[in-house]
Amino acid sequence: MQQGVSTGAPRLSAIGLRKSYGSLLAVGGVSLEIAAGEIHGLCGPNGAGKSTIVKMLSGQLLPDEGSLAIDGAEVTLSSPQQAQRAGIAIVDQELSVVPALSIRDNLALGAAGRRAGGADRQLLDEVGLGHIDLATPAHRLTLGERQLVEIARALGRDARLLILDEPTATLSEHEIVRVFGAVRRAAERGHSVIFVSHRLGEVLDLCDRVTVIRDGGLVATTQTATLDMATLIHQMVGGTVDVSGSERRRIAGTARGAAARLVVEDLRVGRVVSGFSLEAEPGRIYALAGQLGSGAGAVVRALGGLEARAAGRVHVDGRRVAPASPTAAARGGIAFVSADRKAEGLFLTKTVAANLVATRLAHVSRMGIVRAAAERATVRDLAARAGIRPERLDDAVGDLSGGNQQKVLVGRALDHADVKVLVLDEPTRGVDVAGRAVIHDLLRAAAEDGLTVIFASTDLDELVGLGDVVLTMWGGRQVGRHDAGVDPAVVLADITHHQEAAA
Amino acid sequence: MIAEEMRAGVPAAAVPVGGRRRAGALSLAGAGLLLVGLAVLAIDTERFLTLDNVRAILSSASIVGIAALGATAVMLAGGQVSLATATLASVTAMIFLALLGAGLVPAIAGTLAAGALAYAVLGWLVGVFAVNPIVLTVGAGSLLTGLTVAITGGDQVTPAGGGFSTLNDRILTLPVSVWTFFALALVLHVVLTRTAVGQRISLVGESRPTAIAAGLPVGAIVTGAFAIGGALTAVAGMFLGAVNTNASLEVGGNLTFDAIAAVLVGGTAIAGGSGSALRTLSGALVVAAISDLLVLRGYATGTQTCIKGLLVLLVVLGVHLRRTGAGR
Repeated sequence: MQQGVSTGAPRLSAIGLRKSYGSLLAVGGVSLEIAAGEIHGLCGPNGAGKSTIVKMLSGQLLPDEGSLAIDGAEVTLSSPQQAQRAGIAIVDQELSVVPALSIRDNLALGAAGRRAGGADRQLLDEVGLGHIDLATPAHRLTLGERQLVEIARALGRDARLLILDEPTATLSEHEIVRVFGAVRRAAERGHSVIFVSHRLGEVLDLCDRVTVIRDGGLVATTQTATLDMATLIHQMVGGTVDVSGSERRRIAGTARGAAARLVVEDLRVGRVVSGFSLEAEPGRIYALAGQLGSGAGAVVRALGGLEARAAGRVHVDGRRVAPASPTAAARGGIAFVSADRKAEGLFLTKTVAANLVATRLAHVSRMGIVRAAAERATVRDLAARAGIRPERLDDAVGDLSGGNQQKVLVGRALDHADVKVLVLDEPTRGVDVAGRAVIHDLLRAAAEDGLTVIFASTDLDELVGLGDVVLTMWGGRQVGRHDAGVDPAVVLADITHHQEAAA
Repeated sequence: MIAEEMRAGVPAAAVPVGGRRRAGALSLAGAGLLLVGLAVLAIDTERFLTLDNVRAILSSASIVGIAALGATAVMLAGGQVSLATATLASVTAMIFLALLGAGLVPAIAGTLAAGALAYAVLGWLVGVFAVNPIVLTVGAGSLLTGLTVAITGGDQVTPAGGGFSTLNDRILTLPVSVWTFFALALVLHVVLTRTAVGQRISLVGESRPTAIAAGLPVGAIVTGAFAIGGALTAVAGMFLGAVNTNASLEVGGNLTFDAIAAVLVGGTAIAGGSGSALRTLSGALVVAAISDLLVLRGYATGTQTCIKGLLVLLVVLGVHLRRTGAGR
């Protein structure tokens, strides 16, 4: 409690925050109170107003109405510098660590005057980077370590309130554990923390209390000790969406015992994947678990034909699929959904309809001429299966939310008459809770229709919740195979390779 | 940032109220202003609104316009611009005149095939190996020039038969080239909007990585788009040869840049993906009308070129703003 103030006033008191953009109300009267040393979760579906609140708290936006007080003293934050002076620091997904600079220089960035070298050392210790040399250039660090350096920098500025905006979105499970350790230690010493995240498991695990907002308004602030996942999800989505999809008890594969549809033998991708084999049955979902660099992502990309260095044998229904060719993969009945929706998934300025039909143009054409009626019918059918509202079909797909974009992408892959294997990389990256449940249901339905579904993910809940079979990867090899219902801790241990590393 | 936040707490219907629409309105207003200005100038200019003058405008628009249709196909496929247009047109003009000895129809067929083949090779390199099209077409233009000089010894090619005069005929007071231009614009429009090939061309142009990941045959699609472009350029070359009744490497003249100007003024995006043959048709007509207007009002050649250049810049800026959305 080195910097706690003994007045008993809360660390942060925000009353009636309100912000409109033009005639559009983004945040309509949200109040928030955070105690010294508290870790406070901030949750809400995409577009609920979370980032507007974060911006108001960090001096990037001035509220239209409402007041802010830090330790009982009212403040006006009209610039990030003022927020910093008031003791508020923000760490967001856009890492501001400079790769070319050493850790020491990065810690000094933006600080007023030099600190003693010992202070820097102590900061690194606090965030669990005690083993790393201060002179190490930041580009040698992993993403998670860079995030930890950012947190250390914020702590070094004596931040009384630390705002973490989706800090774990790009991190592996292993790195997340370290970031959380640092956050907990900071809180124990009296720093307050606001933790903004989509990952509800993490929020429940880390936070003391959690505030849920929806449509710009406050839904509830609840002690996490008395809160379970179902209630939290209910608060976020307002009970309008069936979110039980991923938790739903699975029906075993419909074609159990059938001949393997996808057979992968000794798949290799440069040094990233060294010998991956799999016999996958129709009607089942195979989850590839692994951190960045484990090779899980490279396996699914290679199945989609997108790894130029891929070698090995891939057969679909007994027919050979040439490696390293996306067209060969598509012809062989493999549909691939990239993790990078914007760069590699969608034709952003084209309409939803044009995107849905993009890979089926030959099917809706006769003598090369696209038949408008057939095209429309296909589009409507795909939209209905993927849960896309018909009135959005003529919108540019780039204008849709992340969840809806992902629906379009999965929808497009779902229905070639000749798709047999659906391969996805991070199927719900950047998708909110409600959208995530819908995507999971879509994949479940695809499997029930008899497709073989394979996805790679770094999200434990998704791996365990969606996969009928969970394959764990580490260092380019498969290290484990588990059936549905496996304890997430086992999967986590596999992909961080604890046993072997200790042995 | 702000636009993204606006999207945040509000119903979906309000989403498009962003920079994109504002910029769209802006460029639409710009186009309107330009047309009104043109109309005023046209009324004010003697002899502009006469049948003879309209015929002259259409004639001068036609050959550039046909080449511009070829450039449209290339640009839509994400091939940016071809800097070999004038060279290919000159070479196909020579091929056409040389082949006329075998009759008009075989000459036309042979010339079309030559143009399509030459560009198909370039398209294959661009499509499969992602070669930079600008560098490639500059190189290909030089290669073609060198080959031609080696074969002809730098001499002009004269018609080997009389069939070319058919291309100089008039139908209903308008030259064949004008009718051909209109017909080809319509055909290309239908191909680009109503056929699987055309839609794929515009998908690849919109995002090559996305098309690859979706399993589309990107190499074949880009090759096809270039082949269409080459065949259309060959049509322009045939008319050039027929009008001049002889052909050398000079016959293409400023065709490369005139064609690009017509495409851009029409509003096809240079980055690929969005645009249309009808836009190029109107672009070619607008450029021709402005040139004609400037000639009739007695402006010097330098001034004419300046004004054309300025026009291209303005339209490119407008299209860019519309695509990216100002202030987003």
